[in-house]
Amino acid sequence: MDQFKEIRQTEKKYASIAISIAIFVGLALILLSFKALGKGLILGTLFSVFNFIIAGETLPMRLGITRNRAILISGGSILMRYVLLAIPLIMSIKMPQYNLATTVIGLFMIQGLILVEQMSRVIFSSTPKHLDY
Amino acid sequence: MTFETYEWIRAAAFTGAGLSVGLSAIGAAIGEGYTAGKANQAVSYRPNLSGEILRTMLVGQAVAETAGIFGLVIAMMLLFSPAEGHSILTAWAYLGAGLAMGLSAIGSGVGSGLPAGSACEGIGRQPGMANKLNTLMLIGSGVSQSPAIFGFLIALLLLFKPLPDTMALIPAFSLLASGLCMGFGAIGPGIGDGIVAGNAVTGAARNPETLSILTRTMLVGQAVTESTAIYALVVALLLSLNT
Repeated sequence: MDQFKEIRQTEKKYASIAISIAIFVGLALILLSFKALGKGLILGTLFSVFNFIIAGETLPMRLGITRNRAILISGGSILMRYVLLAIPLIMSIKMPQYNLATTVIGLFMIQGLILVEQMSRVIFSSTPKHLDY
Repeated sequence: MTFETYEWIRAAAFTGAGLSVGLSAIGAAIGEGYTAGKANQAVSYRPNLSGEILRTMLVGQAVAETAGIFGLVIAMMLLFSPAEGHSILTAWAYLGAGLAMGLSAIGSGVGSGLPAGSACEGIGRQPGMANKLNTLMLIGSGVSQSPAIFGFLIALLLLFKPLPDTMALIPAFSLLASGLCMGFGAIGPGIGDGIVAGNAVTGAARNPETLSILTRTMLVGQAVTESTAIYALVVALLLSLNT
């Protein structure tokens, strides 16, 4: 359906930018001998992207079905996403190859990207009264 | 039956982790649910705009979920925090950290959902304003997250602060009170920020010509609303540094 195309486009847009930033910054950190920092950032971002994609992909499953089934799918999706986000945190706490601080930064990559994109739209808008209708 | 110090610390860390993720999930879930509810309402009278409304809902829910992720991060740190060789004061610090994070995330989670819900509703009313309403919604939601960020900072401070070896009642309660102060102090500002932003988005959708003045009024209103969270942050810092 058309409405899910728009959701998929949004997922693609944010996921590709987030992954590109993580790989670029992560590789730079690895090349500068901060391996744990770089690996942590890439790991956190990967799981942040998975979380966002799962949230979007389970949307169609939650629509047009019975109420009980919708509650079950929504609950399962939330639980699955929480468990998914816990994985990189546990990995970075237990394994010295991954830095905890950059993993946490990576986990907020999608949210940060959304906010930065909107803020830059406001700041770098071509017209001076950018928010005027 | 007596328990070793490290067992008390471990028990406090687990309790703090439960409080952190459990309380923060309340706020995030209410915020996300409110957004989805308003999106449903908007789709019901504008089914042809369902794609744009669902996209706004997804982005708004992702921002509202930030508070829940903060809670999860602190919970994981608490679950794997060291216990052996630490003083019993660490147990109080861990409880304080869980409370600071969990309680502060309630307000931010709920608050972030309010502008997201208003944006879904507003797009149904003014489809041509979708991009501008999204921007206003995300600025409002982003500011609503700041009380949770304050809670996150206090929780980190309590987790990593070096503590004296001897147990004393006043430092122990100072650590717990620091968490309670930041946690409770952040609930109101988080929700208040959301109310300001939600109404600004509704107003912009109703009268697009006022978008510029509404944005300014929203930011000033949120700054004032935020001041009580800053008081709580200052007092929480004083309490935690008093040990």
